[in-house]
Amino acid sequence: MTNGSVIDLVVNYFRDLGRAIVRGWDRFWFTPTDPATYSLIRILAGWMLFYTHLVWGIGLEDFFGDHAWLTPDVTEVEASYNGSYFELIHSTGLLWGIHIFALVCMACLTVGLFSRPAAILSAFFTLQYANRIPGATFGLDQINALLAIYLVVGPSGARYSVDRLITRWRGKPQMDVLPSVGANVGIRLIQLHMCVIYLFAGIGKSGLTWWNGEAMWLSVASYEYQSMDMTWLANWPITLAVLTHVSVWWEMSYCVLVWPRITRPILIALAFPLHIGIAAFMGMITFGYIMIVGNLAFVSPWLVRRVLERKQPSEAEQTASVGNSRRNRRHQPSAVNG
Amino acid sequence: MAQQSPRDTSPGAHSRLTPWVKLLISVGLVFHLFAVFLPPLAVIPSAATAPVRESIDWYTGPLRLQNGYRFFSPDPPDVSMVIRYEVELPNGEALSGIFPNKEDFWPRLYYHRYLMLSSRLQSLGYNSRDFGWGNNKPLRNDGTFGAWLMTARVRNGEFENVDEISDAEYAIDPPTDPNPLDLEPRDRLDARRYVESYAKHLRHKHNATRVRLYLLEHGVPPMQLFLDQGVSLVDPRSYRQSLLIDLPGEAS
Repeated sequence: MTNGSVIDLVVNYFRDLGRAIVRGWDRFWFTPTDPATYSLIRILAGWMLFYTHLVWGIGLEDFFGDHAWLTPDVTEVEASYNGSYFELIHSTGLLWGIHIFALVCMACLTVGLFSRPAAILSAFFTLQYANRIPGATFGLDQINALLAIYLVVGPSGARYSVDRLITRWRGKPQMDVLPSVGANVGIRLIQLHMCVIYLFAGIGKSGLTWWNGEAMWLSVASYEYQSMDMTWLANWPITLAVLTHVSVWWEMSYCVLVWPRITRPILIALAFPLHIGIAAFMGMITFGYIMIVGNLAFVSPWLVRRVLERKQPSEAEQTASVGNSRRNRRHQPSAVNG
Repeated sequence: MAQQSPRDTSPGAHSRLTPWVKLLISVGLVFHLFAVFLPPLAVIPSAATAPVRESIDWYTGPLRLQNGYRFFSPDPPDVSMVIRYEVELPNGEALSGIFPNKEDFWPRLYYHRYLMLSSRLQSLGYNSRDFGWGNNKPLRNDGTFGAWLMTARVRNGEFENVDEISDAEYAIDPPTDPNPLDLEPRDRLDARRYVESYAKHLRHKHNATRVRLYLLEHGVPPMQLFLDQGVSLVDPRSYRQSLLIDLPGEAS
């Protein structure tokens, strides 16, 4: 083999690699997809945004007033503090007025009324509340924020929305909802963000108890977290250890195994007992719920339509639902998205 | 809205975005994904990640992307933080309570906000000293915490009703542990500011003449101890109390 042919080989390899990356990137991000899954996430995440902020209302002045538990000058010691409009509000009436307006925006997002402006305003308010008092936030608020942001990207009200009903009432029932690049980008961002979350959640569990199997005991026996007494599991140490190991390995492998079609259903199916367990036994119902909502980004729009609309989508619709994957070439619908 | 012409439903329909628009969007996506990935990577900063992370704070901060996602890491906490407060009112009366308190804060999400407030002391660098489960000084049988603890133990099934619990079941002794925030004030500066803010909130809310906050460290019993001795999760030995702050009224 001459020097010239070796160089050609290397050049050809990188040229093919570059082309493959560009093609793959283009297909991954810019193939339109049916917005059914995206719209479903709008409803479920919108509801949680509404509920989260409804609950903030119980202690609105205690957490966001001038004399809150944490005043802005204290909160700013947090590395993640970024200020918020609450610092400019010194009137209880104005505080409540804006709060109620925020709730209306989130309710609109949930039902899909004025979906795009409602999504933008809901994301804005979600970030403002979380930025004001990071010391009282937890995982729920992180996932709320990312879903709110990604619902701005695409047409989240394209399906299952009041906006859609209004379009029909205006005498345009024949207009179908077509695949959207925006919905695809929004779904892709949620998928990738979920992978990052689970990856770091998994590799962060480097402590002794996650490896000797006792972490699950510490979780179920924490009185402050406990919502259901599961301490009887102490009599089943092998079960506790297995649950501990499965949790860690599931989180660590999620970002890899969720992409191949053959393993994805297993990964997504495991997300349900894991997060339902956190919700039921550790009192974090809202967090368990919102993590499951994030996982729904991997569910095919075809399956969502089949379940919610109780009808078999046409062949063209099925193909459009899975348009952004290799399946596209075979026109085979699947329960998974990606 | 994704309302387009029906003829676009052909299999594999592609967007009408021009290559330049795609390039522009792609640059934005690459930057955003980088901003999503870097903060959890830089939770423990390195010489490589720290400056880059700081350089994109303008983006990651307002969008709340500065998360580590290290839930219950590196280990689930074996000690929970609960705060007990005593407030002296201008009329000479006193009120007290604890947070978080499952009895007072409902729904669960609201309770969890208070759990985060108390747990914040832990994440701000207040790493509990070796808890020494079972060797703690007995708790003071004051009105609030004693009553709360009795209720919790009845609810936990240890007793049928509070009358069955003798004083010996939750021994009487004043808290004598030093203020943990005084131990290493340099490292606890942020935690001290939080504690002062909590106390000032209570002082303002109740127009109080004095506010005292106590930290109740609540240990999770080791599994073997739980199995061998049948200790409950609210066993008095699992609590250790120390004074956090004694804040006088604003006029003082």
